[in-house]
Amino acid sequence: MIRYLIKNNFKIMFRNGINLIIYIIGPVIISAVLASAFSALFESYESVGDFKAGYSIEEDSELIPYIDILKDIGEENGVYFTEYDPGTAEESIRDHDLGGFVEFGKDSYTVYKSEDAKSEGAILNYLMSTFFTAMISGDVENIDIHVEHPDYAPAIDSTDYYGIIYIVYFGWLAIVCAAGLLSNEQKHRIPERLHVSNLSAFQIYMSRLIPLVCSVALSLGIAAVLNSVLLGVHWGNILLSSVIVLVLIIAASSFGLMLYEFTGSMVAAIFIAFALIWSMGFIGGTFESYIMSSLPEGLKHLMPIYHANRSLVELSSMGKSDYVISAITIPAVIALVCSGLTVGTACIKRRVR
Amino acid sequence: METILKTVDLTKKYDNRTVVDNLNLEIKKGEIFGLLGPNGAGKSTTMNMICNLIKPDFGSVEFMGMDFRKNKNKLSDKLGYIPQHLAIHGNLKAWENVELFTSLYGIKGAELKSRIDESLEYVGLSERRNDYAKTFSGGMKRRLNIACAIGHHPELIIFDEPTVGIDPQSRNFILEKIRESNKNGATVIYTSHYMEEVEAICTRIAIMDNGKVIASGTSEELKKLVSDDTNSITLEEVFLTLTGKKLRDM
Ligand SMILES: Nc1ncnc2c1ncn2[C@@H]1O[C@H](COP(=O)(O)OP(=O)(O)O)[C@@H](O)[C@H]1O
Ligand SMILES: [Mg+2]
Repeated sequence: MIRYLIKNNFKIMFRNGINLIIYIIGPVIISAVLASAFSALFESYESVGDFKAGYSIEEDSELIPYIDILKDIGEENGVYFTEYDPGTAEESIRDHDLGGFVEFGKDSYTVYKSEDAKSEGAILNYLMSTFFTAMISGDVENIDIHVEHPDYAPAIDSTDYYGIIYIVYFGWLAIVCAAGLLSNEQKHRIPERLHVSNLSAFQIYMSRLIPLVCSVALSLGIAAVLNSVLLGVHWGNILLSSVIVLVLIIAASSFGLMLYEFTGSMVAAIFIAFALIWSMGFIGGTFESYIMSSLPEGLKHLMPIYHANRSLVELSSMGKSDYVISAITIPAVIALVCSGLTVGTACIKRRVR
Repeated sequence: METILKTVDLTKKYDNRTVVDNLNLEIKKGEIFGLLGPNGAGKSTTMNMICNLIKPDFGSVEFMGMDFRKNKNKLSDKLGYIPQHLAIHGNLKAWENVELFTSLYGIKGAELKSRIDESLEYVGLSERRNDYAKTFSGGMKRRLNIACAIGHHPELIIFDEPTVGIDPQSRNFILEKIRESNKNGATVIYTSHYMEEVEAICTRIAIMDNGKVIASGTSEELKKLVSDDTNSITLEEVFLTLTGKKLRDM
């Protein structure tokens, strides 16, 4: 029943020249600019050579049997471990010019990084988490096989990084693409016609959500192709990456439509969405690469955009990522919750009007 | 004659000001019912309550013998509503606008196509079907506004001031079309503050002011209220006598 409504809403969005400029040209230009501006940063990160790392271990630690394996794996990957006394992480890093320090507790570990060796710290962190994951999941004998070549090197250059990250960022700003349609609807009081025809709140919602997702996905699809062709951006796994981007566009669209339903104003909805998504991007690696960012990991993990950024970047650089699942499920949950709240609010508004 | 729509004690207040006051209208099947009143009389508010767009503070609307609010699902496709404002998309072509709004009533495929042709033909926009609505003149937009509300063949059509701000040709055309719809079987509610129009097309007229109907009947009957010599006075004089000469829109 709402097929034609969806089709025409899509036409309205897609005919809006500003949308096309924002969603197709925008990511390409910003990616190009940032990629060249920050290429030096990424290169220096890539060329990190071998380095020394310190570790300490408590006497009763359950991890003692694994230390030798870890040392071997470290050596294979250019990280040379030396033991120091427990509780001396900071001074050891300072005094011995270490790239980082790992403190083993009873059954856990803490990685210390230094401001002067952020890249080394990131590599050490990656090595440790890969090693630990392998240790927990695999049997002891096979550990060295699992992490024989830890793909820590986020061998991602600035072009790939920003080429991918800005598709994500614009995807999160999906609601902007609906601005023309929704403000026109409001100005000409078109929803009245929809209500007179007895369309349900759910149908009206879907008639906005579906074309919004389609237009943003289509525009960003074109932008992604342009990014690949013009800038040479690589996407590791096109199918999986597409799914991740699509789900986040759905989440962003339903989030934006929810803000619109709550505020009743397109300007307010866009303003709030912009502020929130900018902050999320700020923490989650949109502007400063999340690899370099010194913000706490926990905080980054709270940002849905970080999961998308990281999974897509890792898919590009190493063909797989532990963040794929969260990059899909978090936005899926957001989409469901926001959709429910939007339709619910619309129903209530209608009943009291 | 059979009653198609009835308002029962319909009342709406905005900030303690009663905009529609205990309104009891009864519209018979097959008539062109004119609701005449100055700006701000409460005509649009009444129409919006009839269409379930605004909830009355009190009272109800009976449509085809049923409480409309409670039977929206069953009845909404029997109603066509042409709002006072232009509820069309400038960035859609004429035919796409008609398609969008006609499809809301579950019409699809080939049937939808023929309804689009028919509606555009009806308002004389067939030749401009592929032009964007934003390129239309005021009169053409008014006509498109009508075309968007009739494709589902409603039994009752509400025209809320459909001739505001347009040239005499478009106005005559629209009035002619309303008559035509009526001949084809549709009941019409027509609101306006133009006396001549209402007099020209309506079979029965109610004069509304300050949310109340102050007089109703055929134009002859209304004239009799003011003068015995019905030939020498116009409906305008009746209107001014009944509503007073105080300026509105202040
Ligand atoms: N949403 C609203 N809030 C407050 N006042 C309103 C609202 N809608 C209409 N009114 C007031 O109600 C009165 C009747 O308006 P309306 O029904 O549009 O009159 P008409 O259609 O006869 O010109 C006007 O004085 C108008 O200002
Ligand atoms: Mg009005």
